[in-house]
Amino acid sequence: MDVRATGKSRSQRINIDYYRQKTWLTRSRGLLALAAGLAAVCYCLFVFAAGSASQLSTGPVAAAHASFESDCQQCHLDFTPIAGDSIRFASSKGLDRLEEACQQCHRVDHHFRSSMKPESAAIDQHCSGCHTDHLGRDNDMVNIASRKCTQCHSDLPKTCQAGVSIQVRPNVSEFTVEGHGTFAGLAKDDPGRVKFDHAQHMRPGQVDAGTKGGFTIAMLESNQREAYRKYVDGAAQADNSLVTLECDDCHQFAGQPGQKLVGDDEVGRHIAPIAFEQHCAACHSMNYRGRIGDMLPLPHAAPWKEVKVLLASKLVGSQLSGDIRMPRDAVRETPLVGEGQTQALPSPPTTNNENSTTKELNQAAIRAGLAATEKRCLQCHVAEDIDDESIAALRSGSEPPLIPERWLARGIYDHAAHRKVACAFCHADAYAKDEPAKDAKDDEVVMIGGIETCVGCHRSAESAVPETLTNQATKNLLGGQSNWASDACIECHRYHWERPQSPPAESQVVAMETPAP
Amino acid sequence: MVSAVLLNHGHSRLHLGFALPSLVLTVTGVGWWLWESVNAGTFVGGGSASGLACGIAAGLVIAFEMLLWPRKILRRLRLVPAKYWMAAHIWFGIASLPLAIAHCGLHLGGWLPTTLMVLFVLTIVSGLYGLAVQNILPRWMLWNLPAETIYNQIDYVAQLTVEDARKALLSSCGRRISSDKKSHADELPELVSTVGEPIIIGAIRGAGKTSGRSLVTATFRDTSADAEPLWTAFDEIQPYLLVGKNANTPVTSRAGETQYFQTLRGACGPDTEPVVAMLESFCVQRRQFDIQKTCHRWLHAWLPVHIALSVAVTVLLAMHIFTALKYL
Repeated sequence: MDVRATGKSRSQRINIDYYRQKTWLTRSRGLLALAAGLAAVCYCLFVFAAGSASQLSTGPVAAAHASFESDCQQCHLDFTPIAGDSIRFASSKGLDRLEEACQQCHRVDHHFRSSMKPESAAIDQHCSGCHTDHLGRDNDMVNIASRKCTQCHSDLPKTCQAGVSIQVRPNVSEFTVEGHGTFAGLAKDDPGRVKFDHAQHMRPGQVDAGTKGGFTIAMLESNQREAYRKYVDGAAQADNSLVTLECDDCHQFAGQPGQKLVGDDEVGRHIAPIAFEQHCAACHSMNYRGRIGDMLPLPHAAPWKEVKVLLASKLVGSQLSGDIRMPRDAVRETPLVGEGQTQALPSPPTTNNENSTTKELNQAAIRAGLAATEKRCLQCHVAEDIDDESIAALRSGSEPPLIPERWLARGIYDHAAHRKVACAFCHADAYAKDEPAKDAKDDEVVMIGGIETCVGCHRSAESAVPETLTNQATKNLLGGQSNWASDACIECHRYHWERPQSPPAESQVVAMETPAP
Repeated sequence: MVSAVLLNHGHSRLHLGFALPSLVLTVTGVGWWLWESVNAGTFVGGGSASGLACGIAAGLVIAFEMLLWPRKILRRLRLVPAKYWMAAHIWFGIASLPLAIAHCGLHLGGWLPTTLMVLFVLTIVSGLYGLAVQNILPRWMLWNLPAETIYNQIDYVAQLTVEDARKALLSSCGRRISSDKKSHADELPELVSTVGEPIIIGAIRGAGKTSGRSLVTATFRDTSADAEPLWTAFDEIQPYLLVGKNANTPVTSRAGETQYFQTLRGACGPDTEPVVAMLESFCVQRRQFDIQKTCHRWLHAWLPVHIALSVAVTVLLAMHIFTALKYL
């Protein structure tokens, strides 16, 4: 009777068939399993019947693709892998389908695919390999990890077919001086052919400090004065004030439509090309003064024949209107006292000899005007660039512009994103030094800081702030801009070119010299 | 809990035989996935080679886990001892979770994969809970519930106990003498006096043609003088012995029980002590039955949940495989 009875005594007090008796446990086990199985099957049937993409999708598509989120077949082909990480299992059929689907909207060209080995070409064709969707509405599908680039660019010979001439650095592993190398656009001499002295132009009056004869507001073309007049504490400069140029007097933010890289035409990304009429004419006008009272505005980069005609027309017209008198012209143009206005003035003597002399004089004046104009041209240009043939080639665009539109042609530098940073941070050589002016070398040296200027801020998140960025002078130049920025390839480079109407020869796209590593 | 399983020398050899392969499987799969993710710069998902391999491995494990069910149904075939099945079920089941997480690339996705993953995690968690309580509670019960019996026999044993108490009272103090019971003299067994005779504790039990009977006997002294308080006590504790803690009796609480039997002993003579002690032991037994019921729920209530979740996971897994292959 003790509760601590033996097991045998306890077992003798239970029914032998106790195991046949169902308890709540056995009953609920079966019922719950049945209910769960039925619920799961019903859910599957619902998914099939409703065809709801949100049920099957691995996540919401990006906002740009939201309009066809429920239409899986826009991108997917049944039982054909196209997911970003399924490239090993992707068939050419699936890749073709995906590329075709993407190209319906995104008209971008491939990336040297014909030069790649088949496995690398598949990577190039596999859009979702880089642009992963189904990661939420806010997913930035063009924010590509650098590893996507370095999987090929860290060892390009492995990626390219045998015999392909690699015209870029073959081993770019990271954005450091060692891992990336010098910017290709800076590794060679400046292709620009315009003589210009940034330092001189940045000085007040464009003369050395303490030197008289500086350029004043009054000396500018009258219609350009307001553009260069500065305001100090709200007060406008007087006309006799020295012209003081700032960088943005000549360099304004602008996109560059017509470039090959996708995204190049975003406004603010680039600096607009220099235009003579907009940025130079205020001081360097082509107005020929000579012996003519009024100035003669000559068009910039006009053929010499046109310039000659304009000079001649001005000369002859001025003679006819009585505005100018040629040498040995004895004809009175105004009546003497007492002659009265009713008496016609005597016509000038016209002999063949005299006509011949006048013509020669006019031609001499035209030649003088042309010479003066050419002299003005040669202030900024070299002689080879101002003959009619060169001018025609430049105007037609068959020759590259005398001032390159871009020096860092392979990458994108977003000036607008760096607007807080002082121009001197990257273009220190363009600023006036305390030393006396020397012969300008601006057309020989690219005044853009190299990769060393960039890697201070654009570094890996784990690296420490370099000492060069910690001193006050540098902080002032940064203007409050953060001293860290991403070092991702996508910050400066684009993978795709805009798709041309007809396929371009790839040599046109990559016709650049390989920079020295 | 897991270490408790492995550190038990009696189990270590059995469990290590499955724990090590499952560890190798997990480390290999997850390691490969991590390596591929590091190279890709992001957590690769189920479409990658490593992610797909992890997914296939996890799916096969789930299928294997579900084989425990038919194995139990077909246990008469004796398909490998159950302990091996259970060890493999535990260790490969645990391994399947990191493999599944690697497969999904730390990304839940749409409702179907999310539902599948959530249910799968709940299944693993419920299994781990079951593993824990199955390793902890039985030991505690072994030491603290000596009166433990088979769960579904608790009510039956309680009825036997009441019968035993009644017989003991008849044997020790004879029939009850309260006037309100006299009219039922022919119906109530306690009115049949067996004072001084040995009584048989237990009852005939049988199932089909098989039957047995306990042979435990007991003899009590004559305590007829205390018949009234003893029968009163019987009447008062009987509901508790039958239904346990839900009965409203003086002995339902442990403190009340102690005080009640202390009072009963004071009201009765010294010869009644064996009878009173027996009644008190019956109450202690009943209290242990109540605790056993609670422990039983803790021990086994997870299993229906675990099985139901497993069934749902299996169905959704099949759906996931189909849709993933279709829209990979």
